[in-house]
Amino acid sequence: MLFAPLDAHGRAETVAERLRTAISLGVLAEGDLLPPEPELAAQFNISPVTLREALNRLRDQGLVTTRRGRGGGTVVTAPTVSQIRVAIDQVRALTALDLRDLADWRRALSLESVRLAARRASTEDVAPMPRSVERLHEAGDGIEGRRAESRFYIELGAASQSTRLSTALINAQVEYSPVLTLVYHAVETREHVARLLEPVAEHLREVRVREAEQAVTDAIGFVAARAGTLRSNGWQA
Amino acid sequence: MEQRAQRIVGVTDVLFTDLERIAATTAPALAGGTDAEALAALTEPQVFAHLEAHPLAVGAGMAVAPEAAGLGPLGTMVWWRRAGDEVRRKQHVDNPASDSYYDFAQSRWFRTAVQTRQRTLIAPFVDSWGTDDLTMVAAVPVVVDDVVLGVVAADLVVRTWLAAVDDLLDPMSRELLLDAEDRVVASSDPTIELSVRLRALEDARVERRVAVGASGWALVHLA
Repeated sequence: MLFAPLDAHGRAETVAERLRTAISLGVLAEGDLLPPEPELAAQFNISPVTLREALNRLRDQGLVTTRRGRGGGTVVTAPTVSQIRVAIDQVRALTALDLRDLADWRRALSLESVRLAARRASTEDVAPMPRSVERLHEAGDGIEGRRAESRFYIELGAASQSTRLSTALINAQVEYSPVLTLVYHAVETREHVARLLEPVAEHLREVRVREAEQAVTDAIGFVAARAGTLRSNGWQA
Repeated sequence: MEQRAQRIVGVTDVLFTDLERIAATTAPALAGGTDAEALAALTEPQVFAHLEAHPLAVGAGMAVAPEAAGLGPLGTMVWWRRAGDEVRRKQHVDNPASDSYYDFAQSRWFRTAVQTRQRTLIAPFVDSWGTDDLTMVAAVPVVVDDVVLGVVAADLVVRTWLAAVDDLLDPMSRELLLDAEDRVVASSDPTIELSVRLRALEDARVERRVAVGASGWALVHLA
């Protein structure tokens, strides 16, 4: 979804910006190999020349390096330290209404996913969810916390068996990720949300829709409330 | 009903036979140890031929089990996808720290093929870290000296497969195709939603059940 096609204009800088955000937030991790240039260009629906221009900008900023030859490609090299700063830059412009809107959208997508997953999910769909919750609980910082939480919601989206819902939930997670990175900076938040989400997989397996809905509503509400508090404190933890 | 069950298996029969042929021809190289690039070079022409011969497959490749064939603790996966008129190599994210890490060794198609050593057909699922779409997978194990070294598999075009199966179901009765967890994969009753678990349907009483293939699937009639 990160590589969804662009409409028409903006091109090189838009692509560079999208990749920069993904790298800065750790959605693309250090050491990740980007898809081959022709494939990436096709996914963004831009020409290889435009893509190369975008990658040159990232290379100049030290965010990627390109290895030539067999087994070569463009590799993410971003230093982790910048992620918090980038997250703060991204959220600074958000108003209380923006935050509410993001949380509303995430809740709507998640609750419909819960409802459908309880009817449709296979044991395999539900199986990885406890592991993501455990990762959230054990996360060492906001970046790891956000990553674990995103995996949980993306797994929930997939469990609904709806591709559109799943895609929308992935996009919502990417859009919300700077907020999540800052919110999950606090270890108590990571632990509290992990406790709230912990029973969801079992609720889904046992078709306890209302309990699963309540747990997810509480988790999303708690994160939204933390985000609101952080914003009013100028995003200082 | 038994006959229709057999015909449903027949929809993927030729494709499975071809996957087994690829598994058999690549097995000696795996047994001797290999690296990812050599594996890709070996597999590529066979995958191209497979995708050429089977419009039902949209992608195919091979995954080598962790610690097998000298490929390290994560194993490796080489994959190709049809994109328009051409076939392209597909790189999955093999970095465990990444958001989009594709942990093939944990995926159902890989584990089931390794555990059962049978033809494995996985009912439609949303493949968030692979195809990003509703996917079915047909998989067969690569076995050498009684050890499973890897899995050869294909992504199927769900809509094409489903259209073929829909045509085989008995329109005169409430006939459902269920996967191994009793989830509805196909139904002659249009009011029943796909993927739903049988136990989530309130008025569903199974009158008759016939096994379909080796993956624990069944054709059932509802009262």
